[in-house]
Amino acid sequence: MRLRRTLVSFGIGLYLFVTANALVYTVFRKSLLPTPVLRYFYGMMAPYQGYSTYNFELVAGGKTEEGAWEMIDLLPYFPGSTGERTFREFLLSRRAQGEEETRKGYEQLAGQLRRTEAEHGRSYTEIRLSFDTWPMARDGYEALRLPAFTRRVNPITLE
Amino acid sequence: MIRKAVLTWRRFFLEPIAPHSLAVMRIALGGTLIALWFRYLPHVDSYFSDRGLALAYWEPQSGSLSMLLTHPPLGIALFLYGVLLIASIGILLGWGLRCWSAVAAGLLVYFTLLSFHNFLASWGRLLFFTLVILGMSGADRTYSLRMRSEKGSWRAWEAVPAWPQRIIAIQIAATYLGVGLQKAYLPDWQGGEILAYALVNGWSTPLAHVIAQWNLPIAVYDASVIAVKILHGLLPIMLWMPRYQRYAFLAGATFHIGVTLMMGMWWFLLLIPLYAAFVDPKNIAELLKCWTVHKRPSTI
Repeated sequence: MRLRRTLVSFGIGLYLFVTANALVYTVFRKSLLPTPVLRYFYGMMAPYQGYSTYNFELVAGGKTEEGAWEMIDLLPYFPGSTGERTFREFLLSRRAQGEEETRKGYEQLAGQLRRTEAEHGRSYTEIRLSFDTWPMARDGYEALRLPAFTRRVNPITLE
Repeated sequence: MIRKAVLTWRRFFLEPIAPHSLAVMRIALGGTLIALWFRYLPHVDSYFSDRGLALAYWEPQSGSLSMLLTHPPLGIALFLYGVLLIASIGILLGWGLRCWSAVAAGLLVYFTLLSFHNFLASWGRLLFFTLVILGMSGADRTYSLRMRSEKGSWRAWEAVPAWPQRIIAIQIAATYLGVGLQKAYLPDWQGGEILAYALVNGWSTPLAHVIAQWNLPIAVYDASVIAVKILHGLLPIMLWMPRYQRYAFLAGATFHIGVTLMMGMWWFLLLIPLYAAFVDPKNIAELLKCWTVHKRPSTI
């Protein structure tokens, strides 16, 4: 019983230390903990850090055997709300690991897309992924998704 | 001094308490897991099977255990997803809580490594943390199928250790405090623009777009951001003070309902029933007792 209480107290103390460390990190960006532990506990107290004035959406083009490019509908591959879809399309966990991992992530997605599209009878010799970006508007999410306002940017650098 | 501190520690974390607050949290968690389950059910093929576009967290290495984290055929994905539903129902009803919490936690890790890592926001971490703590808490010692079968009554109860309830309370307070601290100094949180753009981004609901079209002056958004910061600063204190708790609950609930209505992030609603962590379990028992007595039709 006493041993059990000691162990529980130790666990509680450890939790309090990790949480206090995460709280300190929110302000000073300093941590005594290994990154994965910090990331988890800090992640439980992190708001969204900033905002963009532009919308982003992953788009895919496929090159047919005849050499023509056509757009591939990604909606079935990224279901859910628009916000959640965009969140997933950014591959944030890869982005946190750097440019190389992000590039590999999009290459894998392109490979999977090519295979899956072929299974549905649409064969492509090449798949190109990019992001469409256009200004936000109070009239609706897609209101300014017009040729004059929309840019196509690199999925890795978003530039 | 040290002796007093040790006694306070023991009284706060280790002494047995009634399980009613934990039971309320368990039922809310089970309900949330089931809602989440239905939310992703139509997309099991896309997110968790080899039919979709999804990146495993780890690159599978031949001959290693990481091969288990490649996307399985749809049949296996559906089977595992079905087990998650059974586990969630077990948690909701309070039957085999420890076992089903462990199963649910394992499956959530598995599904996260398959796909959710691309959507691992703060709420997902809080959900998992709550699941693990409640799984160890004895939250099935009242309002549960377990008590119904062992003691013959849903309302029978047995005392449980206090630490799980305290830790969930500390985590909620720390979450509000950490979020508030960052909003206090992050450059993009120094004006109302972040809120104005939140009404027209990819998360915005139709209601948010309608409000954006009212053309409210930026001062309104500025004031709202200040109000949110004050709320985040006060909640970690007021939630602990019985005298002000009802106002804290009301303010916190209003905030989370607002986030749901404007941005569709309904999952943060789980925090509202988790406020039970700040309430004396006996008060919860009294409240629910009054409620069930009033609900029962009169026999006279």
